[in-house]
Amino acid sequence: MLFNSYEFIFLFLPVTFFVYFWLNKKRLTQASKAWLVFASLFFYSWWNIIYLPLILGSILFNFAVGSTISKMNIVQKKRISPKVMLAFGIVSNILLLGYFKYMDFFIANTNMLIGTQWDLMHIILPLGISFFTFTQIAYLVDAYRNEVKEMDYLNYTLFVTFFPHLLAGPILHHKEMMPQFDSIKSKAINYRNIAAGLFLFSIGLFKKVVIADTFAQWANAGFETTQALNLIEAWATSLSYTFQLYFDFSGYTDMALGVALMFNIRLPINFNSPYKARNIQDFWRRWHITLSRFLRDYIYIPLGGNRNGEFKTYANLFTVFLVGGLWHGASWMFIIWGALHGTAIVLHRAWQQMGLKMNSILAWFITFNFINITWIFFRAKDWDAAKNILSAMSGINGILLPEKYAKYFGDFNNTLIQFGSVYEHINGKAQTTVYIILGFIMVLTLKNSMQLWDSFKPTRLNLVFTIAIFLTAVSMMSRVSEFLYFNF
Amino acid sequence: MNFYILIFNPQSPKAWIRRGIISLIVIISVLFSFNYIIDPYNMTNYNLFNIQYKFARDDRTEKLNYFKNLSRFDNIIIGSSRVYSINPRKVSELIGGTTYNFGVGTATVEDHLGILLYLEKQNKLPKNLIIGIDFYTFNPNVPPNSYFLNNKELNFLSYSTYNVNEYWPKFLSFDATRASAKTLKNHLFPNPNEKPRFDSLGWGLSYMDNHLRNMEEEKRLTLQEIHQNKPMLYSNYQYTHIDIKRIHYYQQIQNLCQKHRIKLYVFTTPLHPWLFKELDSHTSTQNAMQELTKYFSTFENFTNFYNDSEFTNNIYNFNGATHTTAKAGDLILKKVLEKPKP
Repeated sequence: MLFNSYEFIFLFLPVTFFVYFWLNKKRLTQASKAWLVFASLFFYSWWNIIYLPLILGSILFNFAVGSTISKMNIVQKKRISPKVMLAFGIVSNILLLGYFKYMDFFIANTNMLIGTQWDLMHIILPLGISFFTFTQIAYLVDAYRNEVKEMDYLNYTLFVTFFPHLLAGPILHHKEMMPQFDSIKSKAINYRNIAAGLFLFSIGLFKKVVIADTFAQWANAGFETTQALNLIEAWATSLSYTFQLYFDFSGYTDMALGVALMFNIRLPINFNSPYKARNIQDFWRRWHITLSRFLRDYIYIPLGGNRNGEFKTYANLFTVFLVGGLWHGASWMFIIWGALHGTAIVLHRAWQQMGLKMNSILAWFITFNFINITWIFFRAKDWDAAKNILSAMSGINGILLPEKYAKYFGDFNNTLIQFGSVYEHINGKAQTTVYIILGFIMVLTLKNSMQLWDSFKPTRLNLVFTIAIFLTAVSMMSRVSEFLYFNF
Repeated sequence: MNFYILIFNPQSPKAWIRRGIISLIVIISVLFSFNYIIDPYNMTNYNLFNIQYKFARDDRTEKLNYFKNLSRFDNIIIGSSRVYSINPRKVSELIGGTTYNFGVGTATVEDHLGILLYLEKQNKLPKNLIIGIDFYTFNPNVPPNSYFLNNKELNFLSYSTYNVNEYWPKFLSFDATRASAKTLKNHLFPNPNEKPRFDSLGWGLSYMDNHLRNMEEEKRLTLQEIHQNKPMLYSNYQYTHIDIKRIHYYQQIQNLCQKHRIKLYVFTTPLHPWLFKELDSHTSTQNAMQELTKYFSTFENFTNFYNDSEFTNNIYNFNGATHTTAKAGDLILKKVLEKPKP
């Protein structure tokens, strides 16, 4: 089920909310948890019930491994060490993810490299598998480190399946989630949280339905017709995708945080104005924060972090980003994207080590353009498509300006510049430019959702604002589209 | 100060939520009711205010309502909007009798059979039936038009349900509200300059060549149209083979014609050369089109415009990528009615 669907907003959410708090009011706390688990599994199954046994099996397996590790930590006599159990758990999770996400990629590359003729399996990626697998790997590691101990299957299932974070994160730690569910305070309706949750949900819905889906039409058209793009169309395509991705994913996160808040659960923030970043390290502290945290805690630090000299640190950083790229999908394009970011982070660290400084505006300009350009590899279906867009962005395909500028630059006609319909190949109009400028204004000057949430007060102005953005989003929801991060 | 207090003074969160929810319920109910009553997309099949022309006019309802008041016609033209340009008067001139153009937008085979079954039920079957078939009509991945599914008089299928995700949201959409407001305005303050889309014989008036054509602008729009239709034609609705179910519907049409001794003329609606090139460049669509023409070539009076390069290569025969001009409509009729090809 999508957050930006009528069935979620007008049926699923109100019913789940009222039944949950009614059960809590009756002091049926276990029943209320069971209800949330049931509702979350229903939410997941709405897409395709075939994958319900998969997620349940994964939960059962990880609960068994996690509780065994916890028990092993308490009772010291052991035939198998907790480390072996942890390795078994992690490898099993990676194999599951590998089968569903990377099998066809592996087969295709094997066929290409050694000339085998294996048929592709065309496996459909179960929704949210990357997220619930990473969440559970983190749980196993935390259990091994003795940081969590969960012996209740219902609690554990709720931790993994709680519907606001199930499909596209944030990637959670057990310890930041379950104490909240167990807190007495969270069992009673908290109007302040509900008001803030509705406010945040409306912002997220507006970001997704109104802003991201508007940019999506130009981005999608541009990436479909990469060969034909002119300079302005290519830049509009890449910038549209840059804004689409941000508003889509951060919109989803705002909605997830808002919905969770209505249930008195505070999920960790995932975005903090990432396009304001002035270097690549800063960007990764602001973009998909919980993924960065996971990669740091469970890959970078176990690899040795920065403890084994500069060269090893660079190698670790690069590896982390390569894994991060591959996590997003089974494609060489994601690996290239990860490698580019890994290289950038290594260069940034080297720059810092040399004690060099840069003007902050220039630093922002370089960082933003690097991110914008690397998103092309993230989005393009293959190398040629990415190359086509980059070529067009460099002006190789020529410069096409709107007819109205012919009177100013007419002398250059047919040499450097041509005149015509500028946004033809991306189905854009003159307003496309205005929207892109507005996109810049929004990401660079406005407060982000988390800042708005921090300063939220239930005033009349906020009420009018919330109603206005909610209604605008609802009235544009008939063009329902999925969230981009559901694909990862 | 008062203004400041009014706007910025925090309320209790409970009151804030209550006011917000009540306001939303009221606004959404009003919007929904307004759009449902005006029904600008003709989705409910009921017309409380008897509005003649709606903003988003549904050809099926419009033509059916009009047709009910007319007597039986000798010749009927059936097809999608690609047959709007076929002039009923020209048909009468060429084969005699009275003619009605029953072309409806984005018609699939279900529409063709649905109209024929409706005419049979009304005892208004013609002597001659002219059907324009489109290349997409037999694509199994293109569903019947939602207006067809929602039209109780035409829909002969065992299901009439619309996709709930497409139906109810339309009454809440921004576009629907804008369309409702415009429909109501046009109804209350009719604009004498606004022409109806069809004349009394169902001919598409907007396809008459009474305007000076700017071919450069048209070329640009044509390319844009082809590009915009691309996802529908190739990606979303991959056309790999022709729909057997729809072939079966055509056999029903043939049987009906035989039973009632109706002379059947079938032609493939001409494709703009640029669109044809696009379709022909995809092996799957190329095969589907070949399969389609192979099937219809068994019909007695079948005219295939896909291989009529003399007609299709002339871009002046087209109004954009999809539709032919009225003059071209006359040319089509000449070929279909005067020189039927096996």
